[in-house]
Amino acid sequence: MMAHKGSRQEKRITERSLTSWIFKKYLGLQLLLACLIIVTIFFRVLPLEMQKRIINIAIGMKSLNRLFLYCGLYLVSFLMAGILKYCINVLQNYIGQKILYHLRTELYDHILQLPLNFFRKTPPGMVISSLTSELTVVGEFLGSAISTPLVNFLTLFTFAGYMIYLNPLLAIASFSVYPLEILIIPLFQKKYNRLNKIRIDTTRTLSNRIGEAISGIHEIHGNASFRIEVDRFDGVAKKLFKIRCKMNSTKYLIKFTNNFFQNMGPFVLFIFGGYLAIKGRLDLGALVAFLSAFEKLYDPWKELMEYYQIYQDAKVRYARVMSYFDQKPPFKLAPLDRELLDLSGAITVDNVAFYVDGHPILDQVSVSVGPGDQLALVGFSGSGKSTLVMILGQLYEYHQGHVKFDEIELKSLTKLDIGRNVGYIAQFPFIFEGTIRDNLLYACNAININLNPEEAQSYMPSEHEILETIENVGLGPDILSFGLYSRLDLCQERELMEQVLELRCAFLRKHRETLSRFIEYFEENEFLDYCSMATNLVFGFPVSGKPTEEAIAEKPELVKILKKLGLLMPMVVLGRHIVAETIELMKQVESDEFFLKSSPLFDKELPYYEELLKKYSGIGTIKQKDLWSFVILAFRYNPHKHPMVVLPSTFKEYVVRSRREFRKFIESHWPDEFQFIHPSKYLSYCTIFRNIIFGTVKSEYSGAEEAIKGAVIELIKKEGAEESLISKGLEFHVGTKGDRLSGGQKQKVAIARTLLKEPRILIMDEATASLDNASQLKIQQLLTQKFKGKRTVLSVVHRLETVKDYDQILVMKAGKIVERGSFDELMKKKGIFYELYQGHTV
Amino acid sequence: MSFTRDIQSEKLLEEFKSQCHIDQNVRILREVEAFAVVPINKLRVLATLFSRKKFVRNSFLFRQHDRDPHGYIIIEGIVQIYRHYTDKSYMLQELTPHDFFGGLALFADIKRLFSAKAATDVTCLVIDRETFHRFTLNFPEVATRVLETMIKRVVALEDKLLDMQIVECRYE
Repeated sequence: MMAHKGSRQEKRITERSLTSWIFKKYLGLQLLLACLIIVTIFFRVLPLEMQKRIINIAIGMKSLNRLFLYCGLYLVSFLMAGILKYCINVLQNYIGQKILYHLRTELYDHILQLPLNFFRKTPPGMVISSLTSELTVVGEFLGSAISTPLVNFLTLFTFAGYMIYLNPLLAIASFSVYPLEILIIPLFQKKYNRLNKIRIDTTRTLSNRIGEAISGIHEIHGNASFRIEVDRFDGVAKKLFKIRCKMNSTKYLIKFTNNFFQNMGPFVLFIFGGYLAIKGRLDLGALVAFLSAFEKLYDPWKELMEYYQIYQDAKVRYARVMSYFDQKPPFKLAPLDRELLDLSGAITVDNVAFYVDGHPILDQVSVSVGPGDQLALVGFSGSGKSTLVMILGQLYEYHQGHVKFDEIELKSLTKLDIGRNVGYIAQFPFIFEGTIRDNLLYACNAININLNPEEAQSYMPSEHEILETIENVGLGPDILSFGLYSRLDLCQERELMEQVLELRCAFLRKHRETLSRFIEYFEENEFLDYCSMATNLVFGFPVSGKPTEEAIAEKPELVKILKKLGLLMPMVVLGRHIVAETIELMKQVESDEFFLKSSPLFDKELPYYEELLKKYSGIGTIKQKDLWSFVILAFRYNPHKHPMVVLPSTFKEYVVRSRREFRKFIESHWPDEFQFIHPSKYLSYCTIFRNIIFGTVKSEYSGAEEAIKGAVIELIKKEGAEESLISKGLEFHVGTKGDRLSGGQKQKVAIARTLLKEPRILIMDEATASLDNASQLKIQQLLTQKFKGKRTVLSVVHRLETVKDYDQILVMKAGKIVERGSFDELMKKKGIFYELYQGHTV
Repeated sequence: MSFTRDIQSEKLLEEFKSQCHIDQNVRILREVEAFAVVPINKLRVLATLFSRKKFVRNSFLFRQHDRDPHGYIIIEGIVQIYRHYTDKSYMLQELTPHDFFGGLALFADIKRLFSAKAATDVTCLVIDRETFHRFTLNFPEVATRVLETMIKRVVALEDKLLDMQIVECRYE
């Protein structure tokens, strides 16, 4: 049927060693790095030789020319060494990060494929910290894995060689300290590693604690159990504190040892070299070069020591992280030697058992379902119904017996085979962040991403199929609503805009009179009680999408026109009156910000305005800036939202009369920033709904919104605009975990998502539980009428009134099937099902 | 620029003060038994928390068994209270301006015991449970007072219903 991309690796990522990553990728780059390093070494040694020559030859022979030559070479060489070092660092970092990126992605891929029970026991905090912070050091190490030892050993040997060349005896004497150090430091390092392991485990516990507390934050707030949680956290945090202290002490001990031995070198040099120089067996230039060389030995040695520590740290972390996830994914992802299967839908379950901690959850269960058969699972909670269907969806691995899809053992089918043929809908489905469309196409995309582009195209549902499925699961009205309450992007959606304008005409023609009670239409000669003073003055909205009052608050130049129109003083008085009323109110309630909702003032502005009010409590001159502060409040004032102040009708009339002049001023000063309200213009600031009704819903009327919406939807259907508005609604962003959707909407999205991939086998695990009766009935009809004989349906049923329509009913109890048969057979039998059904319908 | 020097501004300020909805709300609240005892400064706070809602004639403010979290005070119009049984409905009461009803829902998430229907076009002052709760946190004594009124009201209703049942028993 189809080919898939990529193939699986033989060895599991968690079984690979840390060092295997070093040579896995970017060998070319690593080679380049090595070359750069060798060149650098040359530039590192050159200054030493120059140093010697400057003293012995240039100064000794009093030759200025040579002095300049050697100094020039000295300058060039350390400059080159610096530049090369920079290049090495950049390259090294690039290689390290790139390998880390591969390591992370591959590990993530592996973790996602681990069985569900792994995640039951593993808190998300641990997965997060493993994939992020713990691996950072590993990346650091991987980048420097080749270059650091190479560059430092080479430097070390070169300098050592140079020293031997200068004076073998002296060189050997000053090296004598190193072997001792090599013996001592690993002892400390071992202790450090042991502590580091404990630290990683403790950090893991800590992140688990945090993760748990945050997911249970409702319970913590509900019980005010802050103390308990902090104490629990405190225990682990204290442990971490102690380990960290111990670890760092060990680290500083290593440093101390290192420094001590490092300083022993010059000590030996001074004594021995000084002696030789005094005796005239060593010239002064050589001694200076020797001292410099020895000092230069310090850097590579130090870097090697650090490298050693990083290596140890990375090794410990890597091993720890990998050991957490060292499990084999229970199923293969994709078939290697064949194409994805197309199953017929026949399922045989033969003596299947499933255990949790030794207790049987399913016990010798056998079922047989033919292609297109519909099977209902009924029983008490905890009877194993969900477990059985989850096994069939490859979410759990069965421990005994056989499950066969078309005579093929389920265990040997790959995840993609199942993904293609089986649709599993959970009781509380997960909705991902993104648009509704993204979520609807999620299951299809999951299959398609593994296909060639041409094949993928043919598996993508058409717009028509999407709309049909939305209608089938009863999601149509919800999505239409999302569409209605969204805004248009005028650059890209011109066609829909034209359509909305046509709808507006039709709506106003039909409903202008009948709904005038519920809608405040945008009338140029009327004051708008449901809009802010700013919108009333501008009689339009900013193009930027900001509220009008915010946009014009940034334009103090407006004082001129307000003054000219005689509106400035009234606006200031209005603003000041709002402040006075709000402050009076807030005095009574001890500044509980909840009570601010009837005022245009924001909580954080209160102190400022309180000061302002004090300053201008009597008669006096007012500063331009303070005046504007009052005007800003007046702009925000919305008669409907802020009933604490009522505008006299003369004020309103005045505002309406001033609109024309105000608009002229705005047009001349900010020609492109505002869009003015006009019956034939689309208002990009407002939702589609508001554009159609061309006004604002009078929310004080109970039921106004529903009545208008009903009229609008009826019109949309009549004018044939439903499809384009639903398409618009599909772009609605559902929020994190889909929390902008209701429980029922989430469930419908999940059902539609599964139906769109047209699975041969449909598994529903109480998938309609959070739907209202009407929606549930709709989906039930879909199953029994449209899918009958075409798709195998396995459904865990909680509302027994729907159970009649299934071909076969299984009644489960304590992990066993206790009754089976058609609805009529079971009712005749008068057994457990009969009792359940009677109990349910009474 | 100077403040309140010109007569116009003074007049405007006066107008603001005289027309304030809050003051109107305060006047209405003072007529309501449950709120009459609340000191005037606190009543002003409460008054800001009520919003005005309008109901078209024959529409329901809420229906029996709804979970509607509001308390209502009638400003204008007439509201009829019904109790529905499987096959018949009884009108229990007719409420007129300044009557306060539905207040039980301000204290707990309950299902409505009766339906309230607008017999004419009705304007009400409405407050929801969440808002009322915030208010009582600041002024607990008001809650006690409102609760008292509500209990009296429930008892009276129950009394009426019990009477009806007795009548039915006797004649059926």
